Amino acid sequence: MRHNFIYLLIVLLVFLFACRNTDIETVTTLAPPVSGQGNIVHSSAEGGEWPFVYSHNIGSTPKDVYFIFTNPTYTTFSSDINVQSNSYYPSNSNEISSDSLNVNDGNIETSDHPINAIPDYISEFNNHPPPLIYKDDDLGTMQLNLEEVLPPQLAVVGDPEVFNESIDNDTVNSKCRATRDLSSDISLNIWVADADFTGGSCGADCMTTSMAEAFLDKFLWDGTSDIYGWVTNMIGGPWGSHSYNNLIPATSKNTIDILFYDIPAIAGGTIIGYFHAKDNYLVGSEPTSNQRLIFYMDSVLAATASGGDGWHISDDYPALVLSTLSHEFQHMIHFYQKPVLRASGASSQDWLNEMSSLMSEDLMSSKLEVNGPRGVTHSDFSAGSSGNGDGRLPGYIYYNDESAVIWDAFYSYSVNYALGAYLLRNFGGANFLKHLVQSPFTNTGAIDYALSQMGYDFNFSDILQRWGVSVLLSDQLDTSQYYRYNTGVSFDTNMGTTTYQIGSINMYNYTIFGQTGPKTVSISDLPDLNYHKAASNVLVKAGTQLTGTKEWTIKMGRDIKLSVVLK
Amino acid sequence: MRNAKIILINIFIILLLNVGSLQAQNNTDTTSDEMSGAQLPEDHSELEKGKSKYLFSLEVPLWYDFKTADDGKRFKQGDVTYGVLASLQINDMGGIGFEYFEVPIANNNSVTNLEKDKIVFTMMDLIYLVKIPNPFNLAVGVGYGKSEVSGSNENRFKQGDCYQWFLRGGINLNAIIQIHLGYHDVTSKIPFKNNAEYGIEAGGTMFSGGISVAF
Repeated sequence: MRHNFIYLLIVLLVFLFACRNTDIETVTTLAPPVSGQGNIVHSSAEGGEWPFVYSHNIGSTPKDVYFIFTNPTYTTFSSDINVQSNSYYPSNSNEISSDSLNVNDGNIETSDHPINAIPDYISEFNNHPPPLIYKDDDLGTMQLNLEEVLPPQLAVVGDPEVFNESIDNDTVNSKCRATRDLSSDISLNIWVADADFTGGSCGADCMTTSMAEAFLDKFLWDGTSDIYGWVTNMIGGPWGSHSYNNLIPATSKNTIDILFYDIPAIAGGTIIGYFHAKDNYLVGSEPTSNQRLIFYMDSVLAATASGGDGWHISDDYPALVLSTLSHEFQHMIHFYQKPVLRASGASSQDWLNEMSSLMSEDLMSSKLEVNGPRGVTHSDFSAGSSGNGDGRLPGYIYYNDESAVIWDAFYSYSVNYALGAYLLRNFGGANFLKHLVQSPFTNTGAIDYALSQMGYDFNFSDILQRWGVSVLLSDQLDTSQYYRYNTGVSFDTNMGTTTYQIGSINMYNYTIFGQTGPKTVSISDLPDLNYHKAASNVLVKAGTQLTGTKEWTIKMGRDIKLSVVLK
Repeated sequence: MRNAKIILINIFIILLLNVGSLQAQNNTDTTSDEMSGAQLPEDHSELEKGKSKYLFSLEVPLWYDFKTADDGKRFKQGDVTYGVLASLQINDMGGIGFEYFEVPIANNNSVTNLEKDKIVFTMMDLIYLVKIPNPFNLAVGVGYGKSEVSGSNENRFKQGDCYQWFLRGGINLNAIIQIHLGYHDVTSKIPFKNNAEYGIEAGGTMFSGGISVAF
């Protein structure tokens, strides 16, 4: 019995060692290896505490390899991205030093697109407006002592008016300098502060009647071929019927007022113009309301000529004011279309509202014949020339790892224009903007909504990843669908009888502080990256002119997504 | 190299068993509690003398050293390894055992160590008590079972097979109680679910310690 047991033991021992599974290749990490091939890969790799091995079959043609780490969340993480090459150490000839990582000290304000430094309390009001009181809320109505007001009337040139401005909380004495009334139920009054009109205390920076009329013609000409017509055709009207007692009446939609005055400078910089939604409330609800549809533009910039041949609306600063008009008009329409009509008083987060306005500027650039945020001549639909320091994009290539959803006026105009420009060029142009504005969603849900309305099966996380790829490939004219910044020609959208054209973008044409093209981080500098900002991409150059199959060991946070680009 | 190791181990086992077998041939077979003819020397355990029929052993794992993986690195044991190794032997027939132990894995790469993953081993053993002079005791055995990853990353893995051979040696404190240390050579690889060509090296060598009681 005992010997039988012994023999059984020996047989089992031989069996056990003979039948070991030796087919598995073992690694010292709990994350499975991931492989990829092709020029664009959105990897299924999952981040976490453990690194994983990523291998890519590059092929026999030498290519540069880039990793894009996307944080698709609303949370900024301490960055723990780490990449080690298992078989190769790249030369980092074009990477930016760690000094520029997460650094917010480069002044990216360009002369042609200074930052419109609207005070925070105006943005805060517009994006977090006071509660709207429903018409059947008798108690709310009584408490505010709301009174029905007459809608603004078409003014006559020379009519005086005193407005409550929002920067110094002061009053502005002004006169009507130009008007237009269209039989299509829309009229426009151009007001200029007395002090800033010819004969006032404005010195060499006075506005004239011809200037006022020039702006009048651009904003409202025939209701179709003007800012009013083009923008409302895209995203809807700025006012109309509604369900609230503390807002100006629906008939206010028939008149728009623009007040030009010398907007006081603030510590944050230049204010080109602004829309303040307090004017859409009745004075019983907002005591400083002007109770009309109105925006405010800087008279000094509007009146500044350049070129030495007199004033033209196409001169640099008047053109900037014109572009800003379309920007602020979007804010005005946004307030009605979203909080009032669709979101029960909730307004878009700052970044979304501003991105919508920057997209509006982009779409209006060729129509207004002004150089928009793209920074390329409005009539040139190619990506322009190298060495371009104009527009919003030099700031973007410098701050391309900043968040797309955390608003900071210092860099967000640049970042959010870059994102908005990508969305317009890949997901339906002006039609996409329409669904972005005309939605009940006030955060990234608005992008998801617009994508679904346009028939795309993507979400915000997908968009962020593809956006990063598009930035890297923007110097190529033949990129595949959803990765297009640059075709060499215009991207056209038809809405009704109107065609909107926007030009191509090549990020490598832009330059700032000696940097040309989008910032990329070298593998060796990754440990110096302090934060991975919410809704942002970190572009990493992982290899230069590589061939064959290469491996990297990658560590990234749990929610982070990896994309791989070969070029 | 591996085959040579297998052959050497088998030879070692066979030699041990023959030594034990020779010793047993010098004594009459004792299947009952009564002795007849020649008696076992006083320096054999009660089990060997036939006075006890069963030997119950209980051990705990002390520490675990992972083997080197194909990528040239090895896991490191994190926190304390814990579990239980139990066996029951019946006279000279040998015995069966059951082992369950968990080995936490330390991640040397983590910035924060919030996640705790471990490898869980479950095995059934066959054990044979080798007859050697008092006050020493020696047992050999083999085992087979399953290994799996437990923790936040467990969904990434399938179950793996695990095999072991082990030696257990110690000292007889008295006629009933023994203390011993164990050496286990565990072979195991656990494959990834989504990429079964790859896995982790869960095999290693383990030291255990415990006590046995004869009754």
